[in-house]
Amino acid sequence: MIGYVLRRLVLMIPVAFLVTIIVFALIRLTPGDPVLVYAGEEKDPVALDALRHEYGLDQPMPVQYVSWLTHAMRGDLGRSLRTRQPVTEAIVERIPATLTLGVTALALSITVALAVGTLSALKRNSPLDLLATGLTIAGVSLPNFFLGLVLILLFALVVRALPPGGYVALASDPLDGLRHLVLPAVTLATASTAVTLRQVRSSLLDVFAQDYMRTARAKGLRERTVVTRHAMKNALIPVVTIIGLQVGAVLEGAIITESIFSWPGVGRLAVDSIAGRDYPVVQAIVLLSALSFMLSTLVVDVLYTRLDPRISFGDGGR
Amino acid sequence: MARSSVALRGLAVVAALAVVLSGCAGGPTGAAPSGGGGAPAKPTYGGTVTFVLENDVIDFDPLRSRAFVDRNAHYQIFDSLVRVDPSGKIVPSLAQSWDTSADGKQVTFKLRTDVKYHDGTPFDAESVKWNIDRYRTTQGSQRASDLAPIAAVEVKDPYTVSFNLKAPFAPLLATLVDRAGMMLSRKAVEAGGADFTRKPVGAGSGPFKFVEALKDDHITLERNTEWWGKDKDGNKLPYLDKIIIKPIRDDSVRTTNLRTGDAQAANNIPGKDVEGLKSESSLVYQQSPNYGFDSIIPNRKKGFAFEDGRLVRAVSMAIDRKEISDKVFFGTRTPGYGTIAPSHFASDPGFKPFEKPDPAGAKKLVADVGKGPLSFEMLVTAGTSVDLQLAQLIQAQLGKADIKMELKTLEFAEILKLQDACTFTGATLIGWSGRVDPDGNTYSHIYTGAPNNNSCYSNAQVDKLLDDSRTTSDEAKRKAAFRAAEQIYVVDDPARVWYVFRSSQLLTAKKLKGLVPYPDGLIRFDVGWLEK
Amino acid sequence: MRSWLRRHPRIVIGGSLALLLILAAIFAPAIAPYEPTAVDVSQSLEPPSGAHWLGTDDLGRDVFSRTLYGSRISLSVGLIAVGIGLGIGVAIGLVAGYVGGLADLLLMRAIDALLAFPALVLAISITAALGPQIQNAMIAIGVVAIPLYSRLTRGQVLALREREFVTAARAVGARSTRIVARHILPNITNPLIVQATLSIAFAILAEATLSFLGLGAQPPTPTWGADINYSRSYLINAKWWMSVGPGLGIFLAVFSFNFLGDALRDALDPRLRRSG
Repeated sequence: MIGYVLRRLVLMIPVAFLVTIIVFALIRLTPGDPVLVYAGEEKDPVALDALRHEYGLDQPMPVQYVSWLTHAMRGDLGRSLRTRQPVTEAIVERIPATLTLGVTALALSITVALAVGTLSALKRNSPLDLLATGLTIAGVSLPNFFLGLVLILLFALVVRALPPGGYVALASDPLDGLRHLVLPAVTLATASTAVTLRQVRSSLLDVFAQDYMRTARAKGLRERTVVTRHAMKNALIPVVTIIGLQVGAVLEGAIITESIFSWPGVGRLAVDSIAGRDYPVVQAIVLLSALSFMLSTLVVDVLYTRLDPRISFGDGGR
Repeated sequence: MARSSVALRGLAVVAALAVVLSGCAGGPTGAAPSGGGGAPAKPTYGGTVTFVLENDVIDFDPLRSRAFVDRNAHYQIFDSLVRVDPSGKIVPSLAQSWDTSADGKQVTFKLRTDVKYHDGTPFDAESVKWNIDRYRTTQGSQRASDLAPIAAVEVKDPYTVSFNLKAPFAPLLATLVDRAGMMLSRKAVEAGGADFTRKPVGAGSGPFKFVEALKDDHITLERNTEWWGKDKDGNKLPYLDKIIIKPIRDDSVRTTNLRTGDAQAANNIPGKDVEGLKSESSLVYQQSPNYGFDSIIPNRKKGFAFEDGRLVRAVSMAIDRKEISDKVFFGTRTPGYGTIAPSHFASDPGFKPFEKPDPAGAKKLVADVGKGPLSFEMLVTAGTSVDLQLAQLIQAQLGKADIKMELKTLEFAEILKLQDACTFTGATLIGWSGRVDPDGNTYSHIYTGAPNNNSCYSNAQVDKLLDDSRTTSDEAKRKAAFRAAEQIYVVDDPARVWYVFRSSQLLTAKKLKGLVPYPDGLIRFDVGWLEK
Repeated sequence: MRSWLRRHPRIVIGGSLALLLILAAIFAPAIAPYEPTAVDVSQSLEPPSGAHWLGTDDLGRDVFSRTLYGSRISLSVGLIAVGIGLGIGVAIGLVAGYVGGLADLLLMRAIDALLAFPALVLAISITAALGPQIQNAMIAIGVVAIPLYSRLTRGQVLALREREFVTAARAVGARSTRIVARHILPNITNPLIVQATLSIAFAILAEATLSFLGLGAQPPTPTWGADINYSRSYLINAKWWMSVGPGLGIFLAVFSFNFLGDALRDALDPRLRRSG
């Protein structure tokens, strides 16, 4: 087990290196000059050149890459070109907002998916089941930017029950924080609820068809016990994988959701920084999200093997 | 540049302001200059106002600041040597009075003696000298070019300071209204170090103190109980306890925050929302002319589509400014014809070339040039719906004159780069937020080789006229120079196609009283108060 | 075939929806009552009526016609991007799985590197780097889809490589290309068809997102994502009809391909159903 994890971690090193090259090449190939973007109406050429020099943008590309990489390996991700804020600080500052939104959305989607998915599997082909399956495909087909706009229209403008955007830390004002959280969390949760729900339903149905379920029922165990003890445990295995994948999907959905709801999280920082050519920030965010993506895949794989003893620590699907 | 002459330039604005302000009964009725409350009811102290801004403040340090929105925060935290009143007139602030020497090469300021920075350090002539020298000489200073005409700053006595100029420079006072004239506590700046521009703690002397800023989330300012400003009844300003500035990029979300009562003030409202917002009983919308303009920038460089100025004129003739003003801006911007806005002293209200679209004339002019049908590429910033709508309308208008305009959307960063190098093939769109003096609206856009001259325009006669307008302090002579220049760079040998002038907007909750729009489009909370 | 379809009614439903969409895209010029780009400001912001079924936008353009034309961009991006992803992905998967060894190691690490990026971030970065154009959006979405196909193909190839009919073919001296073409490809067609159908749905959604961010087709070309972004600011003025057309367009297109892909998965490849 430890050997397996170690082997996977070692394999990550060349991949991570490749990732840094892709990150750097992509963002630097993008035409545009950050100094001009942030110049606004102040375009004094002397001041602009001084800034380019200060940021090291007048250096040759390979020099800039090596310097970025060596600093990054020492944990120094540089300063934002736009704000001069240390990049690490800029990202750390936004993590609470992104986590609040992401965790809420994930919790919401898992709860709804497990509850509705189980009911739907138990009452297969009932009106509830048909409605749920219909809604799941609808849920994954609705772009979150459109859903977000419709929700703002309905709940912030027509009903005026909820704020149309913005972030209030839960710690500073729990009630107001919650009000601000509802719409973005629902927007973000919809697609992953649909995916998870579908998985819960279909794996429960698979399990119901297994022999040991019939045996359990034949033994005269109560239906409730059958479902919770036997079915759920076995059905959870693929669900865990899907939830693992949803962590990534939620982070990705946060990019758009945060932009629509003016949510000061990492996703919005990424979009803004790409548009503004804030190289150090984009490089750091993309690199960090790539690394955490790789790690979360590893965690899911490990969890998977823990839950299902039939799978050995071979080289898996790779 | 004596005080008396400065007063003239505001007259036109006052009249215009009065017209536009009608239709918002119950709202502020205009304020007296600097420190006048002006509202009918008696102002009360206390309360928090949330102000939604279209973008986050990037640099609090006026030396570093580049973005327009930054100034909305600066004006609450810092005091400048001079300020403008709501009519655009330059009035005393930290400088109580000023005088220009006969040769125009020395300007002497008498300073207020009762001013303290938020960190407790006193404000005096030494502080002015330190600030101006810091702006002039720091490497990478964005203010260096504003203050380039200054040769030296001389402390005459603790509250008298002189600026010695290299040559007479008429627009100097106007530049001191803004960031180049803002005074900061040396102690606070030095203590702040590299992070000062994000955390300007204790540095200002203005009506509100900086408390904290969380990037892209909020900025908190609190009342400076020791501010020197007073209202017309002699009560201490400001009234408000706290201001929270929230950057909200999305236009519709920003205005929705006011509708739902989550915010109480905004000053950048999309034209299409204005009609709906006016009908909201809980809100007050105010609008007045300002100095900004919007223009189409053709590339006048040799070898590009608009090398021949007559083709620029053809485009100018073909477009329908009224339709643009009505359909794209819903009356929040008015048909415009150049760089000198109606509120500038050098404006000529009768100067309205191309008032009516003339597609037939444009067609004929293109034929006269004899290079075949005019066809060019217009660069538009990707993802900005107003620009897209505008470009598509212009495209349709030009089509009537058989001028083919192809749209190409690029990212903003990419367009800027092409503009800066003058390598875009056809034309682009650029707006300008406006400056108090017409020089600030004109010189850097038109003068050969100037930083914002993105059409790569060069006309020796215009350059000469603009130089003249800087060296004389006689307002009549300055105006004559500007009038002659504008005729050339707009009509005879056009540098650009100007199509609208901008307006200052202010959208406030009805219970937030005392605020009025300023011609620079920036908000001032010093006289604002909340009705209980 | 007919009886097979009768046993899988969901394929018929999903297939008809998708077909309807494709027909609408092909015959858009014949069906659309107006030119999608014709500006007529005197007709701006008209609510839905008999003359304009879905109303008009701020420039007086017919929303229904624009929505109809928008399907052309969405579908062509969907098909071409998936074609790119499928073609390159399957090729990589075949080489990696069949040749194995160093080629496998290198190719799979490159695929891992691509997989390490959140798909949307990668698509946004690629499109921004290449320039906001519809062709570049296709390439970006295609590249993002590559790992999916190469891993799917490689897995299948690894499983098939040691099966009797392949080892037998190798024993009688068949060339590799022939073995791949005759024995391996036919055996992986079903999962690929299922995956491709689902990918079209993903690609349409991704294109809508990219053009919502301003990175898709150039205006005045009608595209759903860009039209929603363009009209979102009118939503709060209760001019809801401008967004409804393109919003429904995206929804229907993505829905029908998701539905079809789901149905195909159940019918063609029951094994896949478990892994969601």
